[in-house]
Amino acid sequence: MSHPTEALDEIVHQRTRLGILAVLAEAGRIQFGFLRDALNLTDGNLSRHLTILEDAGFVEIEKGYEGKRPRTWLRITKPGRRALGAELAALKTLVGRLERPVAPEVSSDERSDRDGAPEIAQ
Amino acid sequence: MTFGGHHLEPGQARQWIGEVEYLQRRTRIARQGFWLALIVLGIVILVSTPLYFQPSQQRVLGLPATVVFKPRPASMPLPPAEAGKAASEIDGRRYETPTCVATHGVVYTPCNGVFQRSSADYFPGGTSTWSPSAIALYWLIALPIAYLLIGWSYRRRRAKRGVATSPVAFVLAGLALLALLVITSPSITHLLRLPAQVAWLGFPGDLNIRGLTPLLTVGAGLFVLSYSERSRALALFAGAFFALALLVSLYDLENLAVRLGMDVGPEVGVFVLGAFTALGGLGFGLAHRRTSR
Repeated sequence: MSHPTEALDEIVHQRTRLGILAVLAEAGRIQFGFLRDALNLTDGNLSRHLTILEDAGFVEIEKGYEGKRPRTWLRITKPGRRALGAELAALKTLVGRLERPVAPEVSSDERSDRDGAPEIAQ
Repeated sequence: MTFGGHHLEPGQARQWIGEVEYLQRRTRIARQGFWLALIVLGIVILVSTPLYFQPSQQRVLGLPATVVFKPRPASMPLPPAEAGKAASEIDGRRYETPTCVATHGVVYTPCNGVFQRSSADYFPGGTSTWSPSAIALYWLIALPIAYLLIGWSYRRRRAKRGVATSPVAFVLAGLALLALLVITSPSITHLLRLPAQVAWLGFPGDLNIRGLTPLLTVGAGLFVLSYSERSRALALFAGAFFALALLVSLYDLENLAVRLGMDVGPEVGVFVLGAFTALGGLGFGLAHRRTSR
């Protein structure tokens, strides 16, 4: 069985970029300013992360005007949604592993030796 | 701690999931604005209430307003209808000759009457309503205005906050359902030479004699809005609205009111539905304001 971390994407497995995709997945189409405020980032910092996500095909950036004001609109793409879903699933699997008590690995020989052994009262 | 090629501290994954959930919750709160749609629709329904006041018996029967009704005295038997016309059958349908005839300004009851249908043929404005054409005209004007107003409010919200649900599906669904009501009206079907089966929705029947089918289209539209808003609360509200709209369309809610000692007409159902919608919108709006702080 593969380890859940193998499902983690190098691009999405970063706190800020995960946050960007999470917000975009919830909103459909979102303004740059809303995302910047929601994640408490600077314009430059957000732009850098958005460029990485856009290059990966996870985010679409659309520049336009609302009235006379220039606006930048952001949208998550289908591959972006898939990547976010895979990242969250992997994180949840990891949390499940961390919360489960770790059982010692037992070899098949040892297992067969234990079969039939009387239970010892603690 | 390192898993595979990735570094993750114990509990970090849990923290990230928590942050994602928090961000999505905050975004959803900022995005949703259906409470305003409910207030607008509630007001539109409330304003229509006077159109649903019970028409006078004279108007329903197409008699002059000055005619008075009196119980038929025992000495005066029911007048025999014209021979051969009392219950004639044409094309398999039974037609009764009206016996609610005014004699010296008096109509003796009980008698048989024929509802005046006129404009109900053009749009399901009802048959036993004060003015089917007024009802039809009201919904044909008020609902598109309401949908456009709601669409505009979402656009404004998006411009102001930077995030909002797209109202396109809701507005298009509302207008399409309204158009469906018009197209299924018998006269329009006839005019467009559509198959007669298309007109089944527009024929006077239990569903539309009260002229409340436009409310059913509003209810169906709310389901679309709840999907766009991804709101379970709105879906539940839409279910309650639709059930109530179906009830007032199929049943005279004033029957219940009379049992409670209130002398009211069919307008009570419209008022209840309008108040339910507007107050629901107000409640959702207050809850939204509290959570978005």
